Amino acid sequence: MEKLTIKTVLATLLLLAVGFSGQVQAQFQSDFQIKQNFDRDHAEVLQELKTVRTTDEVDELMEKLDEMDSRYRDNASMLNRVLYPETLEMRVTNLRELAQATSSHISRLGEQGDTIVVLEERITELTADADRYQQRADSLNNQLAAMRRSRDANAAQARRLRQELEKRDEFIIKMVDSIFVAYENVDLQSLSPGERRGLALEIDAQNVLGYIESVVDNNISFLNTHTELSTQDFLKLYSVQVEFNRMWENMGYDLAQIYVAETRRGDRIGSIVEKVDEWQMLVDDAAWTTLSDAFAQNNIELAPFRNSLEFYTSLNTYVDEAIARAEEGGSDEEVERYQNFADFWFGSVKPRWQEYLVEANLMTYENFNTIDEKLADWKLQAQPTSYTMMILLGLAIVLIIILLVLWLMARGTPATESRGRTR
Amino acid sequence: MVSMKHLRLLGNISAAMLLVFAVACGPSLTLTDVDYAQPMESVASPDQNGNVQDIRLGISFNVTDLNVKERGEGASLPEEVRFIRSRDGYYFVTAPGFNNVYVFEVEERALDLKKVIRVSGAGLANPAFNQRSPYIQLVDGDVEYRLTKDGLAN
Repeated sequence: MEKLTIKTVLATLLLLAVGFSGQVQAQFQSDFQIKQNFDRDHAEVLQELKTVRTTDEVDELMEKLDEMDSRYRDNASMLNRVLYPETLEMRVTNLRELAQATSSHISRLGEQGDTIVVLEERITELTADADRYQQRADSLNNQLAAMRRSRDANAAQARRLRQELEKRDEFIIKMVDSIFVAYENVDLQSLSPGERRGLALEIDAQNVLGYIESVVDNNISFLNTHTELSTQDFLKLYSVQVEFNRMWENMGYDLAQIYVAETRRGDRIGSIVEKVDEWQMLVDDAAWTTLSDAFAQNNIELAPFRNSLEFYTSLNTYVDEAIARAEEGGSDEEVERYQNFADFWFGSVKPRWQEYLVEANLMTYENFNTIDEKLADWKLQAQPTSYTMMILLGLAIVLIIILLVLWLMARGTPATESRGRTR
Repeated sequence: MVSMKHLRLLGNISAAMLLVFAVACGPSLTLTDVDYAQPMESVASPDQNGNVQDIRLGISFNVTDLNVKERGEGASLPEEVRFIRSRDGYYFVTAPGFNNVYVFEVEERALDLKKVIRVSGAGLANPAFNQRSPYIQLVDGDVEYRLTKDGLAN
């Protein structure tokens, strides 16, 4: 017990001695040295802020800042003088704000990083499917090429193959669309040039651009070699092109952002844009030509049209003129003309083309309703005046005359009686 | 009867008195409560000519003669010189290895030695000045000295 007490006393004395010497040391510290230590600590924190990668590291730095703040608090007065026009508090606050901004930046990058990882997985998954479709498409293209060489090729076979290719195009459009819709959630502006380059390389590695280009190439090739397809087929191709354009316009800006530093890739995008324009021109030309031909084949001579507005105007003009003509006097010929148009309109245009015309933004359902209403008017006006109607009209006139005579007679009788009574 | 000679003398005395008054009433202004205290000492390495400077404070001087006085002719210059200005405007200068602190008064383009304060017999090991108005504190390891322009304060 006694030994323990001596030990305790010695330990206490030792502690006091150490504490005292520490105090002495602290008491006689050089201001110059304190300033140098502060500068060193400040520079260290600043340097660490430049290299931190995780929010945990930022939290550790924040703790270090707190400790630094309390360590130099006793020398604040001296430091404020030598740091003028700054102060100790300003320096520490600046570091804290910088640390908080770094933490937010890291968090944001982390969220984007997660999104990108998910997207990359999705790209890998989808490109595996796309590869499968690509193989199928190659085989179909070979069949198409063989058919072109063969004189037995016919529109039905071409259509069948086209439908197969369409499935692939549709898949790729949806794939690319879904990828880029998701990429839109990534703030590309906030990515560093290195990160953008990484993203571009990832997209390129998965050959997304290659798939897009193959869709365009396939369609151009198909349109150049198959002119025997029906109006419905061409309208269907038109709606595919419109859908593709929509997707391409959505992602074009993002692609430009990603590939902005890569001249070669910029050229590649430029080349795809050119092909897309060619595809649009071909499908546009084919669709309007076959549509015009289809009306002409049904003895409906519309004014020439080369775009959706002209087409709708031609339709309206045609029906309006027919109504105006019928208003002057219906006839069997007018009824026949109406019937011809109505048969084509209700038998082919609406059931077979309406869906694709609307899908391709060439016409709207309101446009169709307008034509329908005008057709109802045309039908009414076109009817010739019937004999039954003439007889009924004649009978009505005779009836009116009889009633008028009876009324006049009834009016004359009381006047005669009144004169007799006066006499 | 006052003679002409007396009148002339009186006139001369009056003129002299007027002149004295005029000189005494010339432009004169003294600003008070000046605090020259440098918040933190300057630590500077002498160049090959013995010049030291603190760019931030805008002061430079030559320490060659000071080194000769402290260490004798032919002694090498110290690696660093430490100096600080007191509240009264005096410069306190020393260096590692010095036994003394030199107190200088500011003159026109010169520092005039006012006092030599002996603080060590074996040379200061790691001296540093702190501004502790009205004193200048000199610390060297665990030892502390309080200095004024006139010498040790305690």
